[in-house]
Formats: sequence, C-alpha cells, structure tokens
Amino acid sequence: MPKEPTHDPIKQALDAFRDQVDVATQVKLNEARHTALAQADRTPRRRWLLPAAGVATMAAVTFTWALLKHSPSEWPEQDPSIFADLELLAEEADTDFYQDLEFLTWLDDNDLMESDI
Amino acid sequence: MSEQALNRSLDDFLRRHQNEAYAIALVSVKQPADALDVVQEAMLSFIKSYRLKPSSDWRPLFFRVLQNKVNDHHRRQKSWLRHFFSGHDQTDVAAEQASEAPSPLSALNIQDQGNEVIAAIQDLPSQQQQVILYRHWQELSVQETADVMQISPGSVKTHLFRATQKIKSLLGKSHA
Repeated sequence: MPKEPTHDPIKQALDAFRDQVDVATQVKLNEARHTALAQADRTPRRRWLLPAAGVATMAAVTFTWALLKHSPSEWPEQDPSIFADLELLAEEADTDFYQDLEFLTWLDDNDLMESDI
Repeated sequence: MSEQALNRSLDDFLRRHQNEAYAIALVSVKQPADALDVVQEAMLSFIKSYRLKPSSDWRPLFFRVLQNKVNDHHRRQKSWLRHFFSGHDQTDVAAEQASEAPSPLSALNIQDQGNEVIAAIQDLPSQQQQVILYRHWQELSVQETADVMQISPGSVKTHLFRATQKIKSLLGKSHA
C-alpha cells in the first residue's frame, strides 16, 4: 500500500532527498545490489551442517555407550605399584642418587652392603 | 524457502530500500562516492550475515548494518586525517577542510525548503541525526531504533526530542 503524503517538513525533505537520486547513482546502486546477491549465490546455505552435526552426535553417543557398557570390573587389572612409580617419577629427582645408581647396582649384584666397602 | 525464492526476496527487499539507504548514508558521510561505498558494504554484510533471518526482521537489521558501516567510515576518516595532518595545527586543518569541501548538496537539485531541512539534519550531532533518520523518517519503533544505534530506548527519545527542537529552531531562525 503506498504511503500517504506527509505534511511533516522533515519527512518531506528526506523523501525528496531520496527520490532525487540521479540515474548514474541509481545504476551504481543496482550494480551494488547485484554484486551483493552474486556473493549470496557463491555461498549457498550450508545444509550439510545439519546431517554432519547429527552424525557427530550419534558417534559421540555410541562411543560413550560402548565405554559404559564395559563396567570397571571388566577392565584389566592394573598393578597398583604403577601408581607408586608414577609418584616417584613425579617427584623432583635427586641427582646424587642417579650419579650413584651404577655403584648401587654393582653392590646389589654382588650381595654387598654399602657398609661392607 | 528455496535458494531462488530467497534470492528473489532479497533482491526485492534491497531494491525497495537501496535509495533510502543511499540517502541515509549521504546525509551522514556527505560525499556521494563514499555513500555508495557504504551502501555496497552494507548490502554485502547484510546478505552474508542476515539473509537467513526471517524477512520480517530484515529492515531493522539492514539499517543496523548500514549504521555500522557509516560509523566505520567515520572512524577510518578520523584515523586517516589524524595520520595525514599529524604535523599541522588541527584548528587550521578543520578550517581548511570546511572551506575546501564541496557542498554536500551540490550534486542534488532539491527545493530550497528541503535543502534547508537536509542541511539542518546534517548539522546535527551524530546521534540526533540518526534518530531523525531511523525513528522519525523511517518510522522504526523506539526499540528498533535503539538496536540500530546501540543505545537505550530512553536515549532514543531524548535525542529525538532535542533533534526536532533544534531543527525547528534552525528553520524558524532562517524564516524569521
């Protein structure tokens, strides 16, 4: 429905300002519109995102279900000392100990105590 | 909606609003070439970001993008001028620019009365100018105008009151 003519001087002036766009400018505005629409054609709606998201969700659900299906009692038993070793490894290393490691290994191999030397 | 139907709707929407967008840009940036650039950038960004929004939301969204592009243009201008004239006295530079710049309305052959109103709108501070364009002329709601300008609805009302008072005062003086 066309707008009724306004008696508001501000609106009248702005309507006139809009309507007096010259032909050259009008052509450029049309070109700008076509360029923008051509860009829309080059970037089609990403419809593949929906099925891809569905597949990803299904994969995550299946993986979680597979993990939960095997209760912890079915998991292979771990040697508890492995955690103690990890603690030892995590502690700051005593460099003197490692320097003497060869010597201590030799003592052990020969069933000797350090005090025997 | 199919791609073709969507593109037809977008084309129709932009065709109906391109002259208004150009007028808004020209009032704000003053130079026709700059106004064209601003409108083209706004169309590109609008299509890229909002074409899949419901078409009932397109108009305020398009004006919001347009206003952002106008603001970007002003920021670029300020930064360029600051860089280019960094060794000059800023007051002298502003005076030089004001005297050398072509009249914003020189390219348009509009009636004297309209000319005065447009000149009065161009003289308004930026936010008062925007409420006149979006709220008063385009008749966006207070909330839509607030969204376009990224200010509160209360500020929209305040700016609109001050802007209309100022224009009336300027027009009253010129006819006195």
